[in-house]
Amino acid sequence: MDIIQLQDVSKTYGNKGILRGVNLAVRAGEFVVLCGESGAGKSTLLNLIGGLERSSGGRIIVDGKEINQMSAKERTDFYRHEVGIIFQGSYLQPQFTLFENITLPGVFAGMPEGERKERAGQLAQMLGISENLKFLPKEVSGGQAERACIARALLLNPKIILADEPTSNLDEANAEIVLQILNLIRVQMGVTIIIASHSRDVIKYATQVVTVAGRTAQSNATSGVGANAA
Amino acid sequence: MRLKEAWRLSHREFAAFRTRSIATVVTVGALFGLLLAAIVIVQGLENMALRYARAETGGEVYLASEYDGDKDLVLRRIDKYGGVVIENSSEVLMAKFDNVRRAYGYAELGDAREMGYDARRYRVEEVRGTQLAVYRHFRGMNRDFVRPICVVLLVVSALVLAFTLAHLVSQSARTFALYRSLGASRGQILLIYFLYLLEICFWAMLLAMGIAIILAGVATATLWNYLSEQFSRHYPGVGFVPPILLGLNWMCAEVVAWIFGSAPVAFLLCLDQFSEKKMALKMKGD
Repeated sequence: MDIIQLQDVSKTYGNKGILRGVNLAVRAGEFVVLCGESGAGKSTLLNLIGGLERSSGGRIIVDGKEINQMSAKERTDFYRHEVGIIFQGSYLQPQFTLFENITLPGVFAGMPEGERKERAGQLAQMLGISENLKFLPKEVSGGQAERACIARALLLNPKIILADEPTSNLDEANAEIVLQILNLIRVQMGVTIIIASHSRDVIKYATQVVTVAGRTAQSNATSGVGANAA
Repeated sequence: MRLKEAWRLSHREFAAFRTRSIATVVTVGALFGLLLAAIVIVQGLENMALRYARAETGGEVYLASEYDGDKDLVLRRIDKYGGVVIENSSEVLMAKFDNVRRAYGYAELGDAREMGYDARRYRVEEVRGTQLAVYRHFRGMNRDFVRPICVVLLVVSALVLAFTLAHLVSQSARTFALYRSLGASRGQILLIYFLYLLEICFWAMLLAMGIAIILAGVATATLWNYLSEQFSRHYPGVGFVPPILLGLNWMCAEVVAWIFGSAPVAFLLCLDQFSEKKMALKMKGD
C-alpha cells in the first residue's frame, strides 16, 4: 500500500519553476533516496512531502490525507504522529541538552515525563548516545548530534522519517553509521525513510531512488542492500 | 504541554538571547522606573504637605458652603460626606470634616446630577487651613501630569516590547520551524513567546521599582534642607516633619499592572507573525 502519493505536483517561487509534473508513489517501509545536483529541488520535494512548504499545484497524499487540505490542528497531529523530520546540519536547540532536545516532541505532544525519559533512554541506547544525554550539542561530535536528531525524530513513533542531507556534515565512518541506523530503523520498526542527499553512498540502502533533475523527478526501484540488509 | 514546561522553554529562550532580553528589560524598566519614581516622589511630597496641613488644623477640614436655593440640600450633602455643621447662618453654612478625602468629595460637587442641584450655584470654600487645597493640588497634578505620562509610557513600552518580539520572531525563524515540525501547535508556540514577554515584564518591574526607590532616595537627600526650610516657613506653628519623598498609592499598583499590560498589547501587535502562512514561510526560509 502506498503511504505517500504525489500526483502531478509542481512548485514555483514567483516566476521561477522548481518542480513540475512530479508523480511519485512510496510504499510503507521503503527506503527512498531523493538524489540530484545541488539546487535541483531535492530539499524542496522533501519539504513538500513533509508539509513544510505548500505545492503550487497537484496533490500530495500522506497516509490517506491530502497535505494541502489540512487544518492547523490536523497539521499539528501530522507532525506528532505521522512524520519525524531530520533537518540538514544536525539542527538541535543549542541551549538544550541532548536529552532535552530528544524529548521536545514529547513535551509538545503532552507525553508524561516518565514515559518521555524511558523512551529517550531506549532510543539513546539503541543509537549509542546514552553517555552523551546530559551534554549540550556543542559538546558532542557531529555524528552524536546527528544521532540525537534521529532519536528526536523517532520519539513519537512516526510512520515516516524525512531526512535532509543527514550525512552532509559527517566524515565517511560516521555517515555510514548514521545510514546503517536509519536502515535498521526501517527494517526493525517498519518506518518509511525518505532521504534527500547528493551523496552516492546513500543509494546502496535505497529500495527506490528518485532522481530530481530538470524540474522533474524520475523514480527507479532498486535492489540495493537496503531491500534486505539490516 | 504543561505550563511548567512552557515556562522552562520560554526561560531558555530568555537565557539564550540574554543580551537582547536584558536590553529590553533595561529599556522598559527604565521607562517605567522614571514614571514610578515621579509617582512615589510626588506622593511622598503630598504625604509630607498633608501632615503639615493636618497638624495646622488638628486634622479637621473647615468648609463654608453657599447655595442659591434649597438649604436643606446643603445639609443633606454635608451629612452624606460625614461632615458636621458648626455654624448655620442665614447665608453660609460652615462644616468641619475629619477626613480630607470626604471633604474633597463634598467640595468637588460630583453628585450634582444624582442629587438634583445646579453646581454653578453651589460655592464651597476652605476657610481655615490648607488641607483641601493641598489635596486638590496633588489630585490635579496626578490627573493632568502623571496619568497622561502613564498612558504615553504604556504605548511606548508596548511598542518597545512589540519591536523586540518582532525582532525575536524573525531571529527565531529556525526555532519556530523546528518547534512546529516537532509537533508544537500554534497555541503552544504563542504561549512560549508570551511567557517570554512576561518574564521580560517581571524583570522590568523589579528594575523599575529599584530605579524608583533609588531616585526617591536621591531626591530626599538633595531636597531635605530646602523642603524642611520651606515648609517650616509656611507652617511656622507646626513641628518638624521629615521630608521623606517616598510614598505609595494605587497608581504604583497601576503602573505595575501596566508593565504587565504591555505584554498582551505587544503580543497583539505581533500576532500576525504567528499565522500559519508566516510559519510556513519561516520553515521554508530555513
